[in-house]
Amino acid sequence: MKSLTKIGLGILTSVGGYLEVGSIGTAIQAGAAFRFSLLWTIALGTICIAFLTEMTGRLAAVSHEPVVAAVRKRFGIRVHLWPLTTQVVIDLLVLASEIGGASLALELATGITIRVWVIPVALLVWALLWFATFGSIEHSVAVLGLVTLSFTVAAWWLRPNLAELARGLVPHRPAQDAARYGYLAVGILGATVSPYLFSFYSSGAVEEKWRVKELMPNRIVAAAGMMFGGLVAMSVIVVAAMVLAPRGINGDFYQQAATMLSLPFGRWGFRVFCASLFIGCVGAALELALDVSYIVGQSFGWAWSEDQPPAEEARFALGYSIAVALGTIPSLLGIDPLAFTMFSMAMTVVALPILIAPLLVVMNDEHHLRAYTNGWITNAAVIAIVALAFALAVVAIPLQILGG
Amino acid sequence: MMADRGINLVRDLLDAQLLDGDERRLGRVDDVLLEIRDGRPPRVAAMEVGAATLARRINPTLGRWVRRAAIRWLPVSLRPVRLPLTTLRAVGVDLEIDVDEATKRRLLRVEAWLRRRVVRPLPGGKENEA
Repeated sequence: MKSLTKIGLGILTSVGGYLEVGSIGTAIQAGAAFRFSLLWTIALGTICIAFLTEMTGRLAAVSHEPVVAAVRKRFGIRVHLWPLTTQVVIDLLVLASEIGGASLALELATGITIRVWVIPVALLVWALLWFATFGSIEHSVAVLGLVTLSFTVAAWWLRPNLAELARGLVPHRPAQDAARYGYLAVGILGATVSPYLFSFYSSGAVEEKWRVKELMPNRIVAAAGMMFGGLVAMSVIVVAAMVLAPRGINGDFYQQAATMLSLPFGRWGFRVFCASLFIGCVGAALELALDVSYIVGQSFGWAWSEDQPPAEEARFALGYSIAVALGTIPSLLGIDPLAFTMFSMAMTVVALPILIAPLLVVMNDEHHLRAYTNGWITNAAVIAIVALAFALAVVAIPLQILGG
Repeated sequence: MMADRGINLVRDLLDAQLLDGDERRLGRVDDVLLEIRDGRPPRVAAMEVGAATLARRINPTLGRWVRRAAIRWLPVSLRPVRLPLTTLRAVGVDLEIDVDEATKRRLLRVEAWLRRRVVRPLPGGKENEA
């Protein structure tokens, strides 16, 4: 039973990876434009992120140290400065997208303009972080995140052609519009293989005081948590493909896309869509704001724990407070949240190699991991992921211009 | 436990997390100082902790700039704290040190200032409320 509650960390992490504005947005566009043929990107992204979270969870369980702390210690501040700065910038960009996404969900639900909602959404995120503990945030987001399974129910109800689904799991050249296909593939991978997921997951494992006996639960939580997210993201593609594509809706506008659940669920569909988007974005925003505080605090050796009251850890609490405040700026300036999200996803992809490559060294360091260093399978996986990340980083900017 | 094996200055000390006996995080070792002595071999004098030290390691100009800016504008001192190796109690992934309350206060100056001036005046900012 106790190890069952650990799945909460996997689902919380997964909500931030798959059910936030970037993932839902790219999945809708992919389904609407290319039907099932981009399903493989979710499968590939899920395998990558499951490997990365398992590794950093293992590091946390064995050394009681999260991944960012290990990178500073192993490489020294002069090297660590680069991944640290990169990740803080990326986290802030994606955090701003999530605050925009949650505000957009409220605009869809009420018809009141997005700008009115930005400050209330930011205050909600801040207040949850300021007053609540890690455990309560984890479990409430994990439970509320289950609402997004309604996409899976909808996909089931729509009875997709299984042979066509299976073909979508294998990469192949699109019949037309290759630039947009590539652009969406990179966007989905950028939204899925988000570096904050594994720095957050390993911090969470330290918060929950995982030990060596948690290594088996860690594997299950990493795999099951990411499969949950991957399943929902694939369901979004399937529903978009079966509802939006035949009607010629391209998914560029959330206003039209929000009706995609109305076919299976009637007038509840629209509300469920707005609720899913809101919960996913708020969950991801909580995760991102915490991640900024985690990685900065861990890099400089400050006290960091969401379980302590703010007065016990002033620097940690002010870190996420400043992050949330900065995250409101793009939406308040009136920048379109969807365009800003696609930009953030492309930037994530460009930054991926610099954030993942240090893992190859850290995860083979016996000083940190004792007998639990990477074996040949996990090392091969990191090398493959870093190679993939380099390839994506090279094509991300050209595809952003050609396809977006 | 430390007498029978050597401590690697870069692997074990530099950039390592400092903890007190209650596992409270006190910062990281931002630099290690050697003392040069006439006619005798150099020896490790102290571990240094502080934002200005860290900035100097990244770039000497940045270090000078941080030090000057701190003296001129910051209401709290950023003067580096030196910890002699005699404070070391355990060396693992993290370093456990045994320091007196005054040293602990100097290590946590910025934290204490922010708690007093920024966090406490906010709702939910008192220690006993959460």
